[in-house]
Amino acid sequence: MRLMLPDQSVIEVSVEGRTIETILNSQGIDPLTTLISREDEIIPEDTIPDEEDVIRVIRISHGG
Amino acid sequence: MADKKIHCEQCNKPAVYLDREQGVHLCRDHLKESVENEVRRYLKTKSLPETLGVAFSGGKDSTALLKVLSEIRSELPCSIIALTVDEGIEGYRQDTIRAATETCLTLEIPHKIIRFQDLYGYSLDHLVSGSERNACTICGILRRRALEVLAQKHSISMIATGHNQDDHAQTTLMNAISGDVRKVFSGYGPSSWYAHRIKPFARVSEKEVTLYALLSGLFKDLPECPYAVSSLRGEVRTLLYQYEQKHPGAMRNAARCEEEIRERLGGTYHPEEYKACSVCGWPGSGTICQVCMVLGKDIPHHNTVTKE
Repeated sequence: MRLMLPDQSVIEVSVEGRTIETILNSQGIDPLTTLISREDEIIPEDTIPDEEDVIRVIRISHGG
Repeated sequence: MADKKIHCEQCNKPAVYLDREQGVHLCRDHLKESVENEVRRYLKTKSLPETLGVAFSGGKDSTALLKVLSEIRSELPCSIIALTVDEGIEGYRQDTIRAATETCLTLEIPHKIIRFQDLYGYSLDHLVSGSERNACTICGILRRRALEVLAQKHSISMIATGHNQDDHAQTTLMNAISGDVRKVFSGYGPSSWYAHRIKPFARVSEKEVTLYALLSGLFKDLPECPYAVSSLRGEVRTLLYQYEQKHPGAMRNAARCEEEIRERLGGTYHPEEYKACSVCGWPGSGTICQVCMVLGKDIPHHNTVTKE
């Protein structure tokens, strides 16, 4: 799976049956502070993605 | 294929949101409906004036609030007006002010803007550069006054703000850490001077608010305020998210804790009555108000700032 991070960097991650939440935690990203998008559709963080998926992580900015 | 699509509990459409506390998934329509229903519920507990002001920075929270209010405006007994304060923060505020103006045009909501430069003679950037005080403290004091001036100019007695449940939880913990019980026990006393503040998103999480703005097509990936780099609120926010992940509902409970204390015990502490500031005449807790102190008007014959 390809993970597009808020800083525009992209990393390859092996899913191994894990949810996006677990994957984000393993990357040191708090899933509560982000929204997750796949093919321009928002999906919940407990989704188990495909190995071929491209997942975009949108950081929730604070304030406003 | 390992993918297991998750569907809405209410209609079986693709889910966009997980309510971690309830373990319930919602699709975009039901998430939006849920947020709008919460705002409806909240507003029914308030006696709304003829015109409701909305503190509108152009950020995601106030944008989402303005959108919700525009969606349910036919049900409201009041008209809505958006109020924006331009603090004067170079490289940040221009984009957010532009976004605010565009949103108001899209939603067909009247929009009024007041600028620090016009009201005080200085931008926030200028005031911060000449002061040792924290930028957020200076901004908070001046922004509150600016919003009041704008509200009074347009005869607005009530202002809705976009503060969400996460903001409330953070404030609860910050008040506890600083031991500031007076803020809690003095309650929500009405004031004939200041417009009454209401917070329709008090029980809506930051994630729900952000999703609402995004799903409404009004979310803009705007920069964060450059002055909000490090603060106690940031530390408290990180701590609360850690708790929320391990104990779903912790954020909601923290937010409601202070709300409940205020409802049950608010008013048991009686703050001193406002005094008129000896410089500007506005009400405050001391002989010279915070605004005049920030502007250096409390020091006779000595200006701490120089005009731009």
